[in-house]
Amino acid sequence: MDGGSRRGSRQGMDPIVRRVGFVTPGTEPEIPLQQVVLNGPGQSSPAPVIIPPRPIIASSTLSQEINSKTTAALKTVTVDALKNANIEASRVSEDLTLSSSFGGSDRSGGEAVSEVPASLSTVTTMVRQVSIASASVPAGGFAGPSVGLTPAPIAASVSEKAAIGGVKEKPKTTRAERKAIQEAQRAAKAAAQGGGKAPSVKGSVAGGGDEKKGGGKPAEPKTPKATPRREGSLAGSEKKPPVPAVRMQFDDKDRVAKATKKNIVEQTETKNRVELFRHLPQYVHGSQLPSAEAKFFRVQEPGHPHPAVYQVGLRYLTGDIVGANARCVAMLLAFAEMIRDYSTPPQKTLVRDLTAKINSHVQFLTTCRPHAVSMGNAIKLLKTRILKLPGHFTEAEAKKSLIEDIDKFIQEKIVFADKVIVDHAVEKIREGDVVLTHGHSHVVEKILEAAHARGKNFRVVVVDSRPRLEGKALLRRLLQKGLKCTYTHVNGLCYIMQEVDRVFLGAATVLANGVVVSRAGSAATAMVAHAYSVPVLICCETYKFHERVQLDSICSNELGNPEALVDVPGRKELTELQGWDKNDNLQLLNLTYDAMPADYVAMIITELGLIPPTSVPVILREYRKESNALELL
Amino acid sequence: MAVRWQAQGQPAVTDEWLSQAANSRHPPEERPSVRAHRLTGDLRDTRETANMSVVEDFDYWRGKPDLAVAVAAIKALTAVIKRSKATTMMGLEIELKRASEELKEREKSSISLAAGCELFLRFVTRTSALEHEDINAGKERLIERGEQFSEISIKARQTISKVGADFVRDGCTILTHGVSRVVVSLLKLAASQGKHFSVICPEGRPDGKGIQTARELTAVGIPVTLILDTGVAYVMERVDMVLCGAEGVVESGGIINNLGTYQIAVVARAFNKPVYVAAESYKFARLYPLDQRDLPYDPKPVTFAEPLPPNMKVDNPSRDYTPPSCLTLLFTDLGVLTPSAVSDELIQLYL
Amino acid sequence: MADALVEDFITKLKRRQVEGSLVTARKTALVLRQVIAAERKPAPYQASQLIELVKNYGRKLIAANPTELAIGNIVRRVLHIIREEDVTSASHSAANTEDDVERAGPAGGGIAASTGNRTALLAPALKNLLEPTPQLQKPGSDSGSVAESESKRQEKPKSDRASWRLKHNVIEGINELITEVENFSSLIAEQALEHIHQNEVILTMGRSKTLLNFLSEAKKKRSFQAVVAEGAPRYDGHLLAKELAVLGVQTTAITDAAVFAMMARVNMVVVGAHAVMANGGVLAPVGLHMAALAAKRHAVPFVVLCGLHKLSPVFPHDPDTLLNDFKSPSGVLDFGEISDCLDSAAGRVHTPNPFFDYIPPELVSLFITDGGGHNPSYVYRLIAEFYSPEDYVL
Repeated sequence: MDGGSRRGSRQGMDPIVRRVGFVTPGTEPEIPLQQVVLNGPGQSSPAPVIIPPRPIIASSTLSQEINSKTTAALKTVTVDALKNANIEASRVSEDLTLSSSFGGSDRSGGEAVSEVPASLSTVTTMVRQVSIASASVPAGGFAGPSVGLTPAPIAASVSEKAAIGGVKEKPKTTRAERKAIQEAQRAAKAAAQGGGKAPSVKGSVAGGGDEKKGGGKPAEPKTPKATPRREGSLAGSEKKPPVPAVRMQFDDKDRVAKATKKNIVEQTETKNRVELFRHLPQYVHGSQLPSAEAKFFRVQEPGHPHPAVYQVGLRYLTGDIVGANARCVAMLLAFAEMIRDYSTPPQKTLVRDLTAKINSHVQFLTTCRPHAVSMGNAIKLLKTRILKLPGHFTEAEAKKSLIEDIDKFIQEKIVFADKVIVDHAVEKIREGDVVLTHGHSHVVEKILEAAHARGKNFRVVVVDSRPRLEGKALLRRLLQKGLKCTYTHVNGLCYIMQEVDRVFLGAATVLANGVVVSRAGSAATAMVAHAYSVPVLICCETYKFHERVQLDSICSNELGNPEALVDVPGRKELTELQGWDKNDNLQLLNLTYDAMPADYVAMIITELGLIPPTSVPVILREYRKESNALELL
Repeated sequence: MAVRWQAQGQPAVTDEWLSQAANSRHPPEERPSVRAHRLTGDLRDTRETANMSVVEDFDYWRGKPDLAVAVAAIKALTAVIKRSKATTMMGLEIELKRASEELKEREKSSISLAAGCELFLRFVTRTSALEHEDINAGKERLIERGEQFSEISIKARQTISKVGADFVRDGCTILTHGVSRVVVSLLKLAASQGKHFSVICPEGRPDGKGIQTARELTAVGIPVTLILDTGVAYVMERVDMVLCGAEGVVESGGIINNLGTYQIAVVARAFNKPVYVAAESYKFARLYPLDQRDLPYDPKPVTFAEPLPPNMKVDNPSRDYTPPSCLTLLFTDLGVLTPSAVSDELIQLYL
Repeated sequence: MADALVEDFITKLKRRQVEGSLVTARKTALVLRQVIAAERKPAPYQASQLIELVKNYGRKLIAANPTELAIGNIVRRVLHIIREEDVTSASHSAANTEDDVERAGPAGGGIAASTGNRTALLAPALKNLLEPTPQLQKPGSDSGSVAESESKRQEKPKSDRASWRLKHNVIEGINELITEVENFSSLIAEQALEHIHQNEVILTMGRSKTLLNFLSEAKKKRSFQAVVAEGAPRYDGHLLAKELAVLGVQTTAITDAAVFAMMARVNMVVVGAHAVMANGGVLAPVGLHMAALAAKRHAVPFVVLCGLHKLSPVFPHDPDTLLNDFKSPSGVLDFGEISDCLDSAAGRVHTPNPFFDYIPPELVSLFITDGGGHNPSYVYRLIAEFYSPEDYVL
């Protein structure tokens, strides 16, 4: 052992001379040690990896614009911008043509591109209006668990280009061209409504944009050129995971106003909002139910939801149905009812009208209670299925097929999945184990009952948290089945965790970065379990997985009724918080969910098997592929 | 609240005094070639022959099985005082210093020996500051304390056992390392208090020290499981606490102990298990290692089952350094200390 | 009549009618003062008699409520005061006595002797390892310095006065202690401005008077927001939230389950403590261990406010059970809610309701005491200052 270096083998104190870049040893010429080797631009050590030149998406310029009135603003794009765009269009690589062409230009007139995240959905709508993609593009290729767009700048700039293409076209194109464009637009709108994708848009817009350059050529000749590009971009979209749509942020006043205009359920915002959660909706809980109940029988009103759906909505409001699975199943069954009773009005196509109806129903349910992710996934599937209905189906056949699809979804993705999960999970409970769970998860309850039915001897610790105290229901059911139980509140976690061997938790959703969103209090449970080296097992069906990512529990959550904190059941003497809303300084916060970081989770048990939390994107990818494959059939 | 041992009226350093100090320096003692005069302990104490060397004394006391290295050293130093012909405390100090150097030469790598000698010398310095005029009173005091030291040592062990036994809970599993008299006595005391616990001992190749501990504990009826040194991480999840001795406790609050302690401490920290060290306070040394290489290297020979090719290197140090971040508490005869309290003690000692 | 007072206090303790470390500490000090004042044994009584007396009563008090560590702390403080006063008075008398033949050497020797006595007060330290362990002055027995006992034997009437002075000093010392205990909250609050800054978000759980004072002091100059977790099953977070809102602090009341969720936006966690152990660990209301873990995860400083009377020289061997108080299960689960399920085979539900949580020292960033701010690793030193090692085990 020599006295000198602790960091590997050095010859002494002298600084090490290093070569920069990927250099294979033995191939490069010897360099004397005295030279300090710098790989300047002119020298001859080629890096084996060639990084393609960056697309000149000036995202900074995009982010400068904050104006959200996209539709109007788009029309103000100047000709200058377009000219500059054309010059630069040639410089860049193929599938980034459009984006780059706007990236370099000075956005002088450019109120066009709005704040990217907030306006993506409006961009989507706008894109649908403007897209020239023909129906030949197999729109089904892009259906999947989520509505996606390729990265925002591209989309935005694409839309801009599209708008420009559309705007610019007017003075130069002939009537024939315009007609062709309109046809293509109409077809594309229908296709895009099933999840209109930017690639298809892009391809079409490329056709439109280059059209202008070509000087008045009709759309069709361009489509062959556009098609390879489209296909290329199709393939590209398969490789690139679609970015999930950005949700509405409720601190955006205009959008909130627009959305609430059509509300059936009256909602008044609470006073005493918690500032931190301005981006989430919070309504006075008392007022919604009576008004909603009153309107139940106004079936004749246009836009009024189907009674089954209305009922489900009411039950959401009252808190009768809780839990991701339960809500999803209830909603799907209500939709099945609705479809059964549906008949296409004259002058409208089944696909479009039904989709519109479903959208409005979904909107209604959202106002009763914000979506769970599981519900969102189910709705997406339903809409995809509607779009994929073969044209030759009659209405009756279509309805039957849809109802079958819904049933299949429920059976496969929920009921059967639960059975498989239970089978997997029961293996993980050993004899004499102490198993801990938080709140009341439907799947975990099944697991515990199944393990007990198999004769395993174990003890269950139920941890409960305010204000919902759902664990009590679980406790009752377990006791009735004869299991040995311990019950404690979330503060007693650190005390009880020393006795625990396994922690089983359910999930509302599992996100692409491995974060598990579950009932408030689960993250604390996982944290304490991690501190005591107790493995945490999440039991979750794959239909609850989502590509969204989230870092903490604040960016996305659901705010429950703050009044629930005021009274403690069984403790009448606690009256401190009554009259809290009269005090400006006091706010109550009732968080519904919290996000548990991926490193707390040891394993996720799904119907596809046992996976580590790092493999969630793998499942998402495979799931998408599988559903893509199904739909292409 | 630290008491400053500065007596009032320090002597002025005069030339006379200096020359006196120089004169009191004895010529180096010669080692007799034949160590024929080994007698029983009592007789040896009263022997006045100047031809005995401190090293011999040390060897003799070291031979006693129940005596720690530091105790033997201090007893040897006490004998030096007895034999000393110095007329001033200063001279005595210088003699003792030389003698302790010889002892350190003798056992170059023993940390507790060095610590014990340092402690005794420090005590001598402070006593001499107090009684700088009366050499006889000083010598008497020193001799008396030096002889008592073995009692101090034994009492220390008892105090540590008492203090540490409280931490042994009913039904817990303890992982030990190496062999330490203090740890064994601690566990025996806990067992005698009626607590039921089990012990896991890694065998401690190649010395088999762990097996020795296991034997001693089994003899008093404590259930012991023997594992390989490589099996520590495997068992760590069912261990409640780690308990080991120390060869030396360093200024940062870390310990120096036989090879393997650091490994066990790191694994225990990964599992969030407490690591307790039982060490007498005379093992506190004025070292401050930053990493393993800061320790004096003391390799031990080790044989392998088959002969090795000549260009293969073997590295087998006898001990390693465990930093204070891996330790939870130290049981000492000064009470239960956190690693940061050790530094406090050492600062007070050497101020 | 001192006995009656003690008995009354013991009964109250047993019935848990005295709640809170401040109240308990104060009452204990008062009771002990009464006991010492009422001590009418014929002089000369030495310190050791007083010590024995206090120890006896102290043991009884501690046995009445073992989880209330403040009792033990105050008893040990009083013992420490007695020992200190003893030493000081001894050194005074040593300095005053003149015609003592046994005393060898100049005054330095006497001081050495007194300092030798003083070493009895210090914790066994490394530097005293080789010193002979001095004995406390026992009536008629040898003390650390032979001279002392001689003087004692010689001067009986003076020792009467000396012992009266000792008692007097001890009672004064206890009075000081009582004042210190009563005023610790304001001293802690004075440090608030150093730690709480503009626009910070402070999280707290449960309720503590000290905490309220601390935050209200900070509110006078800075504006900040408070997030208060309700702290089941006591739910005193509700009261604290209301009080803070009245003070004008922007307060958000949350449930305990949301503590981890909110921790991502919190700048500092400030809590009160029930007791601080010798290794720096904290006994706090249940739920704070979880909050401390969440704070560590989010790298949020975890600050504990505690008065020095909460410092206990006890080491937590088994903190979750030995030093914990378990309250009635009905605080967690009402019997009526599950009584119908209990007819089935399992028949029992185990419902632990611990009152305290043990927070290990590595989760605590800072202790703010009436003696300033301290690292958890320095707690051992504070304990050595206020308690005598002989009293660690009563």
